[in-house]
Amino acid sequence: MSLLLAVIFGIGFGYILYRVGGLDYRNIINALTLKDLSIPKFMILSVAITSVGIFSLRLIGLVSLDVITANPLGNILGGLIFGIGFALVGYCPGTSIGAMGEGKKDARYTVLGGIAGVFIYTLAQQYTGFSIAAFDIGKLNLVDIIHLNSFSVAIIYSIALVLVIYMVDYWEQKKSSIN
Amino acid sequence: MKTKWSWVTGGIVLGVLNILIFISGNHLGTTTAYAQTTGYITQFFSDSFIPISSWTAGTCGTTGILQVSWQWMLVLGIFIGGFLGKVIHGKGVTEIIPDPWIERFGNRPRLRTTHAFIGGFIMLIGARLAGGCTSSHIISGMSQMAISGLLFGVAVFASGIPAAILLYRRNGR
Repeated sequence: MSLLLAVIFGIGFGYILYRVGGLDYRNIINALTLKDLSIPKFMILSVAITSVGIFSLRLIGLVSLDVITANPLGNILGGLIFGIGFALVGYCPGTSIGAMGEGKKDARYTVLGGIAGVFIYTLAQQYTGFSIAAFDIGKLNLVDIIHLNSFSVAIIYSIALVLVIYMVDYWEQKKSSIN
Repeated sequence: MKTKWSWVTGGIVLGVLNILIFISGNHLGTTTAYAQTTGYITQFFSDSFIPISSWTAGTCGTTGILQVSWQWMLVLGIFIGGFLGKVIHGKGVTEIIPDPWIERFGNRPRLRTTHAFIGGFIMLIGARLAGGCTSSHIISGMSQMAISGLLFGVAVFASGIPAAILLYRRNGR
């Protein structure tokens, strides 16, 4: 049953986040203060692997994409705002849930704050009628920009991401050998 | 925690898990679950205060009805996953306030609670505006090479890094 699978996948995701240190405030803050970029490297490596995986499987029809609509105003402004909250608390909406499961008392306040945030946002949207839908530009991905077949773009993309990870890794090691 | 996974191990395991999630026809995300939960709570107090469609309208969520969705169950799983991790591997008491926070701000539980609440508040405002969070935009979206995910991901670090440096590196680099 699909919902049971969701729980199982969630347990896997939560467990992975726990084991890699993603539920730990200090690892997030160390990443954002550029002291230890393990968590971003972990995230980007997973993206590179998933990307190759899904674009290969897509060739044989096993995977179909579900891209979130690009909205430059929303994606960028929302991301900038998100980043501030992220730096303040050291959890994200997902890791705060996992941390709550782990028993961290501060995480539950992040979840509560998140619920309050959704409430206020929806209320504001309702009463002012504001909408940024005008800035929607469609469910775009890189294939819409780089006009090659999607599998090739995915390969180039994944290689580029891995290169970035290793450059960051190299920089970190140089930094620590200087100190 | 003694047996911590390296970022390489974690990246590979998550990469594979995420592929399985795509094969199942779903994708990672948490903000729709937040919206649905908030909607349920509001509906509990007042049927008509905010129409049901507002919760899942716009950029978060794809159905017009409140329901315990796939993503809600995924988020429940994340909670259990954290719990399991602690039960299997964790030793000792789980801290109330992280030590580095205490070093920076002092042993002030109520301030930490305030930070935690405000941080969550700000993040979900940003997530609603952006149409997703780190799970849906970065882990899921960037795997699909989505422009929305790429823009969001860059923006999060573009503000998160300066914000964190300002907040935490007061005592010199």
